[in-house]
Amino acid sequence: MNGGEIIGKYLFFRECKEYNISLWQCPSFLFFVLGLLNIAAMLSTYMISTRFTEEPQITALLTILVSLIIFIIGSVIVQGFDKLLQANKMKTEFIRIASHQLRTPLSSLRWANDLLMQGGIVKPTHEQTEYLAIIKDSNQRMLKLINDLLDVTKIEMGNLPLELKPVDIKKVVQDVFADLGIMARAKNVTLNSNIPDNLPPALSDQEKCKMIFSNLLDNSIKYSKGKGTINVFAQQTGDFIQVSVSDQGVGIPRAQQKNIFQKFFRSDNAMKHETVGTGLGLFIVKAIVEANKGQIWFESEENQGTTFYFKIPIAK
Amino acid sequence: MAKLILFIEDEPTLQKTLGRALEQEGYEVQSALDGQSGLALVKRIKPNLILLDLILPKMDGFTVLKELKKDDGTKEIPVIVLTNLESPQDIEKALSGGATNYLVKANYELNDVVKKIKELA
Repeated sequence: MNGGEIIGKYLFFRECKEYNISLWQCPSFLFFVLGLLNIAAMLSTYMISTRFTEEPQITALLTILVSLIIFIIGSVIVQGFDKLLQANKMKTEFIRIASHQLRTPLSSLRWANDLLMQGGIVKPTHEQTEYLAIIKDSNQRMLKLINDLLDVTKIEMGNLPLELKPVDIKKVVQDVFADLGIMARAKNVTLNSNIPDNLPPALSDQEKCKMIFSNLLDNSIKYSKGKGTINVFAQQTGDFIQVSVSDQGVGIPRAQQKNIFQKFFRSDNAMKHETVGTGLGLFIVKAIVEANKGQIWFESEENQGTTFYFKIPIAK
Repeated sequence: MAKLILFIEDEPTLQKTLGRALEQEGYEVQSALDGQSGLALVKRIKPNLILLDLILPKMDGFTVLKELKKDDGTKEIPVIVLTNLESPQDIEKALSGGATNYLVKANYELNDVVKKIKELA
């Protein structure tokens, strides 16, 4: 059955593997086997009954036997579909439950910490503030990871909702610069934007568009070499707004460039430079840009820096 | 007289933290741990603002919202939905059900929630 295994592995197995379903329970593979069996059965029944026997009972028995085998495989196929359906249902339930159950204790943690840091109960000492800041930072990281994982699940289920409206790119970039300002200053990196005032609005989802810039700029700051400038340009090209985000950071090694948009992928030099990171940011950015009917690409040179380009349609 | 806020939330730790922050701003805060007692309390104390979680025991937030908007005595009280559910369907359901605002708890710092509350009460 070696040939069958090879075919199964490359054509059908990918989808079933994702849901941890074995090849022999994978509906598409079984349909394929069923099809082959059907053809083989028809041919052999014909050949046997015309060449090897004149007994109609043997022909009838053969037909019954083949029908029985097809029925059994059919039942296994239905069970396989059921498993896929269950797995899909579990994913949807997980998203809804995770949203609530994981985020609730994190919200409590965050707000209790905010209360302590504000000093309304008792003013914290300088040293206490340092440790409270560690709690705050860890909490943010956990929340971000949960949000990213939930986004990834939604993307894989084809369920990334985009509310398309005219979006002012210049304003989005200003907001993201404000959010990331502290992080940039801490890494000694300057954020610079060059976006014309009369740039037409893009047709995009406000929140998701902000996520594109947040993720790209977060990466640029994270992988900077402790100095340098990050530049954001935007201009109209035909019916699109084309944006570039360029940094002078550690860059992406040529051999790993083809993997950069994969889920959980982090290049070796990135991991050496900064251990914190989920490898989900670019996967999410690419999904958003493509759902927004846009394109994303990049140029990078190890140790020199990286420029990400993306374009999204103009709002008409 | 201090403005009165009713917080319908089944998680005691959230009640305690947000409650404290609001009291520091001069509000009076009362709480209910489930939808049913929350609804009964609204009718009794007539708060200036209601903070409503969606996943609640005994009666969920959506049902509470529906009941509030049905009753002439309570339908004018502004309701801020404060939840960790964030699907577009849940948001749409709450806003079309009469909620004035919908905040996803995990996305807000304490100060920012207080700011949103001050906009309405």
